[in-house]
Amino acid sequence: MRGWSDVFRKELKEFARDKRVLYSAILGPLILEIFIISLFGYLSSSFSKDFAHKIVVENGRFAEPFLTAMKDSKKFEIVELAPGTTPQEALAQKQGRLALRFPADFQESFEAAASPEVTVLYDPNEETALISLAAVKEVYGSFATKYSASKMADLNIDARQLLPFVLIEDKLPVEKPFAGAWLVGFLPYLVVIWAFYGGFSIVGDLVAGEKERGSLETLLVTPVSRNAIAFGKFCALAAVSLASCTSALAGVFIMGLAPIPMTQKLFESGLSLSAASIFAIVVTIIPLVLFFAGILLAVSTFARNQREVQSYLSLLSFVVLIPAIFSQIIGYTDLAGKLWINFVPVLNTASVLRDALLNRVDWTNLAVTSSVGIVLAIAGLWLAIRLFSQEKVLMRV
Amino acid sequence: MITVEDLAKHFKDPKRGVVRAVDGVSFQAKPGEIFGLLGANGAGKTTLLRMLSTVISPTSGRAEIHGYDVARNPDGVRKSIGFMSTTTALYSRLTPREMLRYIGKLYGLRRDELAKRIEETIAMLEMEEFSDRLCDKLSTGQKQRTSLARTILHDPPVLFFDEPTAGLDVLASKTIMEFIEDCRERGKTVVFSTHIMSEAERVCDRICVIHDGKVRAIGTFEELKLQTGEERLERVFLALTEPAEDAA
Repeated sequence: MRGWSDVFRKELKEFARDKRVLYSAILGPLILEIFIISLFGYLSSSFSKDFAHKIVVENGRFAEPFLTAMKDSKKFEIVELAPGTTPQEALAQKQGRLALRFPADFQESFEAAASPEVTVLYDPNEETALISLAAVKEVYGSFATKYSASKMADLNIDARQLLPFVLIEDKLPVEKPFAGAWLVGFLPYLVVIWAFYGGFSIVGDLVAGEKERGSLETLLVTPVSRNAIAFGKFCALAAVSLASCTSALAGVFIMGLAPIPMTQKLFESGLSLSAASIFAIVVTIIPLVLFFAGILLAVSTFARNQREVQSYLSLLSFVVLIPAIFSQIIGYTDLAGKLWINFVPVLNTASVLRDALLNRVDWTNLAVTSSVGIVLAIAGLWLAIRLFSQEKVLMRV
Repeated sequence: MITVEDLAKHFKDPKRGVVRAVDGVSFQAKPGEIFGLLGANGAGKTTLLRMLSTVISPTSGRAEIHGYDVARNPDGVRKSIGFMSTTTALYSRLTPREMLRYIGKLYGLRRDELAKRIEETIAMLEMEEFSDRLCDKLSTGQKQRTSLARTILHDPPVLFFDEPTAGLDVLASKTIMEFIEDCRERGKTVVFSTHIMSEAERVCDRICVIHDGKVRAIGTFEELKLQTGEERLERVFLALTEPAEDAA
């Protein structure tokens, strides 16, 4: 294997001088990460603003006690229905997310404990309406409980006796997560994606580009073995992909440490990572990067030219994207704990990364995921080297 | 010294069936000789040179380069040869000096020996002016000189030139041709592949006319003239390569 390190160093030197690599593999992930976190930070801070739920109210002047409860929750912005407008029209004009219709005799009925009917109007296809409906129901539940307790007290009845049981919330003592829930869900996806896309900017150039330019023969007539040449290129590709992942993670840390009010909500639990979590991240990302490097190099070796590389990679992207996207939602399903997840490439890495960012490490999952990753990395490297040593493939131009 | 015996390369093509790119080629080339491979495009010259330089393996036959068998000892062959072609590009983001250092390392030259060889080669090919400029920024002539430098850096006893002047202007071609002649003076075994008759006539000690993968004739220009009864190499070539029925 003499000579692989020379090939590796030469490739890195060329990449370092290539602005495309600098922009798309190094600066790209960093800037994109900063942009995405800023965007979600902005959206997240918008959600948390007071009076986020804008509610149109008809005859609200007759329903002071309930509207006071809503105002006290500081979650609503109450808009009185304009004279001559129906609630349906108000919703169509986006004056509010939903409308509350209090009857004109609400006050009398309420005071007479006659259970007046209040209608909530909303568009069931509007996500924001459903969210606001849940918020209204929460305030209503609390209001109704207090109202019942007050009425029971008037009758000298303990309201607790009417409840089947009392539900007490008790949060488990868990490790402080690396960041907010959204980021913990999204970050593994980004890291996995960059492990794959990081090598895109150089993979075409590595073998197919050399075939196209005619510089490959220069290499093949040197006394360095083809295995060594392929291994040197493989290492260079893996190094760039790893640099992309690191750059993406650096973007997260920069945003976590920067005192930007807009994004602080995403990092309210700090940026703490346990040593076990860091270990888990490293031993799962590195095999994944090596696996991708092997596959990408095999594609570049097989392709006749750089354009052909791009065509193959467009297709291959989906194979990576689908499990990566699924990893985004796996935390919301019961599948997260299933053993078979650890045997699915990409998905297993994202799953372990998610756990690691929550400062949880399941050593069995980690061992399986890492072993699968190592086996695939070896298979990827074997495939790339095998193709590189096949004259029929290497001479395809 | 190069010895080629009954060397063949066959490819399987889905449309054309078995393609005999090189079919039973035999010749010898000696140190201090420029051996020309003269043939039209697609005659099999590049495939033959690729086999001799171990880029591809022969289907049958054998070839020995500087005492090393191409199939049994490809490493020995690679250490003994320099290969240059016009289609061989440089690494655009390296300087000629960096490229020479890279190639020298691949040939296993030791650090001090490599540094000495780089300086000697740069001086020999008068590359001082542009040796630290990126290859991407070089003129065609400068690129050719860099390509030559890469070919001879490890001082190989055998040199292959595959259509080295194709697409070059008169001045750049002149540099290459003078360099090839200089290699003969230094006792190198040179195989020079071309389809340009005047170049073959000018520098080759012996010419091998190759057509459809087969050797049609080997000899000095004078011997080929005698064999065909033609005076100009162009006519000699046509006489040797035209189908029998046309010639009749």
